[in-house]
Amino acid sequence: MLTAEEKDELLGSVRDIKKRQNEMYGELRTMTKAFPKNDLGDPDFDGHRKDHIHRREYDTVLDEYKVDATKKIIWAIITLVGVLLASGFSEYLKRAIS
Amino acid sequence: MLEKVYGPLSRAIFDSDMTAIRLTLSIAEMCWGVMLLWPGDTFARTTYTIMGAVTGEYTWAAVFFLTAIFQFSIVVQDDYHGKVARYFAAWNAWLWGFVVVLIVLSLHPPPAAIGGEIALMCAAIWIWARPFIIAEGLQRANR
Repeated sequence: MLTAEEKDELLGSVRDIKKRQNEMYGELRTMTKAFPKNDLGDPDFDGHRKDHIHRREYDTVLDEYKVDATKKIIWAIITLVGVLLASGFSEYLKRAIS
Repeated sequence: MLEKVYGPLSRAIFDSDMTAIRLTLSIAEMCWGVMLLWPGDTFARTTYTIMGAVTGEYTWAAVFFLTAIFQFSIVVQDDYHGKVARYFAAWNAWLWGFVVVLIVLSLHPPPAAIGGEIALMCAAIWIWARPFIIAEGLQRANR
């Protein structure tokens, strides 16, 4: 059997747990407000996760495209400089021969 | 070796802010305008033979001045993607490209001193072309 003092202590602990639980529910409600609602009217956690995956894939495709475009630009510049150098060199050769 | 270069260079040319380039172009255009208005016959020099055949010094000066003002106003208004800014970018790329070609065609061998103008032409062309290239990338990413 519990003494009156022990019962009071236990009751106090239960009240503390209940208070903390209410606070946690409040925090959870606030957090779920950050999510859009799905067709059932609930916070769309799964849609949110899928959106992140989609964005990551989107960024990857875009980054790859940019790197690919950069490669083409670099090679276009290298080719252009090469052509200019070659034409200058051919002129130099012509002069040297004549 | 080039593989290491692609990533950083891609970020540098695609993800960078081009405000400084626009300001540089604006200063260059203003300088062109001022120097063309300077007393004396600038177009008497061989460098400007073809430019002079296209139109007179004062007209070119006016073109450069107006372009500089437009360029500066785009920076001040912070509107780089509007319709006016996009059409202006096309005009600006054409102007710098045209001037560089006219100067290069006027002289032989090509003048080393227009290295800066060639860089500005590349910058102006990039300002015009970059949104189209990025738009294509966005379309691919959306597929």
